[in-house]
Amino acid sequence: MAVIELDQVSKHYVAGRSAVSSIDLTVDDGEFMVLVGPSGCGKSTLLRLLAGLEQPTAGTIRIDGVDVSRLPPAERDVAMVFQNYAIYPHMSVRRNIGYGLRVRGGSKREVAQRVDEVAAMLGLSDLLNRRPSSLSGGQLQRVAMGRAIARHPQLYLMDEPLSNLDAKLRVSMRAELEELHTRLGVTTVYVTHDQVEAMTLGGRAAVLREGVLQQVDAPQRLYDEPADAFVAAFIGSPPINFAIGRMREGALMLGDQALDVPDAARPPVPDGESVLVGIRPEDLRDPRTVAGGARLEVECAVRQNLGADVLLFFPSPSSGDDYEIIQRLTASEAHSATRADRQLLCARIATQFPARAGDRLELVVPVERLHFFDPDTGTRLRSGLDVSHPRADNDRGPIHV
Amino acid sequence: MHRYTRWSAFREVGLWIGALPILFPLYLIINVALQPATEPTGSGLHPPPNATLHNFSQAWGQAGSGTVSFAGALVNSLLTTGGTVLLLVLTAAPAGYVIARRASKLSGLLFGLFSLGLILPFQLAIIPLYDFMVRVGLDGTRTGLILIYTALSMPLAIFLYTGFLRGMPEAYEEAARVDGAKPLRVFVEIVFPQAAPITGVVAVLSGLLVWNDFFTALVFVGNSDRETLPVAVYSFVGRFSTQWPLVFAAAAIALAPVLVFYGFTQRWITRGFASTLHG
Repeated sequence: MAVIELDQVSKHYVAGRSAVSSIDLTVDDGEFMVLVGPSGCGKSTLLRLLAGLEQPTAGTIRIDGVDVSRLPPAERDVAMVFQNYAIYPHMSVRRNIGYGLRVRGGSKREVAQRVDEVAAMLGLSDLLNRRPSSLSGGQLQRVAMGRAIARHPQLYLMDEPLSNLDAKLRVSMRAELEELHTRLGVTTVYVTHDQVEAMTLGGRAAVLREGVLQQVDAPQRLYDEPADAFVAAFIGSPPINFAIGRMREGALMLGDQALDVPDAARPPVPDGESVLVGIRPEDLRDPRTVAGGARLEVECAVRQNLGADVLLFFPSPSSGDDYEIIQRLTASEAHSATRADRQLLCARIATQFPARAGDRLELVVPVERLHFFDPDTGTRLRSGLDVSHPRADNDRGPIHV
Repeated sequence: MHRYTRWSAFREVGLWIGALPILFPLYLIINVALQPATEPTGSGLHPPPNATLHNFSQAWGQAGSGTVSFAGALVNSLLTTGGTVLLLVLTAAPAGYVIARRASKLSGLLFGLFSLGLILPFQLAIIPLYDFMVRVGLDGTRTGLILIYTALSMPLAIFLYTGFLRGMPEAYEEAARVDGAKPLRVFVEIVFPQAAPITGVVAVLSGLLVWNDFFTALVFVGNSDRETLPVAVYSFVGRFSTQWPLVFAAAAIALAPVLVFYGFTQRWITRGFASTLHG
C-alpha cells in the first residue's frame, strides 16, 4: 500500500501543448481514486506517468515519499490493468498470471502456489492451462486482474478495464472490483470516461478537462456541488440541464418565465445580469407531489419511458447565443438532446405523471436545488442556500485498510 | 464438410491449371532423371520405358568439380542456409524492433537506408565485396558466405519485421515493463514469440534465396570444399554434359529437401504469409 503525491506534474508531447498541466493530487494509502473525464482529457497520460511508461516534463511524482518521477516501471512496484487487457497471447493463463513473479525471480514453486491462490480468488482455476484466444472478454478481464494481483504490488493502476465488456457484465464486474479492493486494501487509481463508474466505484474522483484538474471530491459531492459547469455537465445521467437566466427584481428569468427565488437561494448576481443555471433532471418535479418551489411551464416534445420513471424532453428557453455560451463552458456535446434550431432540456419524473408529447404542463423546481455558474468562467456561484445541500451518501473519503 | 458443387469443381480445375507451370518442370526433371544415363530416349516428355534409380545413387556418390562430393555439397547448403537464416533472424528481428519503436529521425534514416538495399542491384558491389573478402581472409569460407547472404537478405528482413512490429500493439511490451521485465527480456519473451509469423516468412524467403542461389556461391566459394548444391549441380553439367539424366537426378536431389520441408511446414508457412499480408 502506498500514498501517491503528484506535485505540479505536467506532460507535453508536443512543445506548447500539454497533455496534463500542473497537476497537484494526493491519493491516500488504500484509497480508490477514479480519474474521470472525456476522451483526450489527459487521464490516461496521468496513469501512464504513475506507471513510469511516460516521464513528466515537469513536476514530481512520489510514492510513499520516494521521488519516482524518473524511475522505470520495473522499479516502481506498481501493477497495471490495460484497457485491452494486454494478456500475452502466446502464454497460457497460468504463465500470464505468474509472469511478473517469474521476472522478479520467484521460484517455480512459489510462483505456482501464488498463481493457484489468485486463480482461486478470481474463479480462474479451471482456465489456468487455456490460451487467451479461447477466453471470453470477462475471463480475459479477470486474467488481467489476476496478473496485477499476483505480485502484491503497492499500487494498482487501471486504465478503463471495463470499457470492452458488455453493459451487463460491466455492472457485475464493477461490484467485483469494489469487493476486491475492500478485500485487498491496496491503493488504486482507476481511469474511466464513464461517469457512472466514477460515481459508483471510487472513494473520491478527480475530474479532468483538457489536462487540467477541475475538481477532486467524493462522487456525491461532485454531483451535488460541482466546482464548475464542466463538472456539473460531466457528472450525472441524464446530464444536467443548462439555461442562461437573468435576475430581474428578485426573480430569475428563464426566457420569458419568472421563477421566484427567495433571497437566501439567490445567486450573487446583480439585477439585470445573466447567470448560467443548472437544473438536474430529477429536480424538475411533478407539481402534484411537491409543495412550494418555483413553477416552470413547458411544452413536452418527447416522452421516453424508462420503466421506473419517464424522461420528458422540452425546448429550452435559451437562445442560440446562450447555447453557444453553454457549449463553451461545458464542452460536452451530449449534455442535452439538441436539434439544429433548438435545445431540449430533460426532466426525470415518476411514470404516473400524465404527460404526452405535445402537452403543455407545469413542473416544479425546488429553488434550493438550482446550481448557478458564472457565464464567463463557468465557476460555481454560491447562493445563500448552497451549504444546505444534502451531503454525499457515499462520501466515504479515503478508504484506510 | 462442404458439399462438392459445380463451383467446387470449377475451382479445382482452375487450381490444377494454375499448378501446371510449376508441376510441368518438376515432371520433366523427374522424368529425365529416371532415364538410363547411357541411353536416354531423347524426349523428356514421355515416361521412360526402362526407368531406373541408378542416376540418383550415381549422382549422390559423384564429386562435381572434384573438390567436394555431392553429399558434401548438400551438407554445405544445409549449413549455409541454416546459418544464414539463424544469423538473419537474430540480427534483423531486434533491429526491426528498435526501428519500429523508436520515433527518432535516426531510426527513420536507418529504415530508409535498409529500404534502399531492396532496390540497389547486388551485382554492383560484387567486385569490391570480393576484394574485401579476400583481404579479410573470408573468401572460400562458409562464414564469409553466410555473412554475405545475411547482408543480402537484411533489407527485406528489416522491412518485413519493421512493418509487422509497427502494427503490433505496444500494450504487451508496456505490460511486461510494468511486470518488471528489462528491455532485452521484453523483446525475447514478449515481442519475438509474437513475431513468429513474420519470422517464418523471413526464414522461408531468405532460406529459399540462399538454397537456390548459384551466382554468389559460385563467386565466393566456387572450386572450394564449401561449394553449395547449385554450384555442385552446375559442375555436373560441365563434366557429364552428355549425361543429362545424371544432371537432372542431381537437380532432383537438390530440390528434395526444400519440398520435404515445405510438405511438413506448409500449414504454418501459409498462415505466416496470410497473417503478414493481413497485418
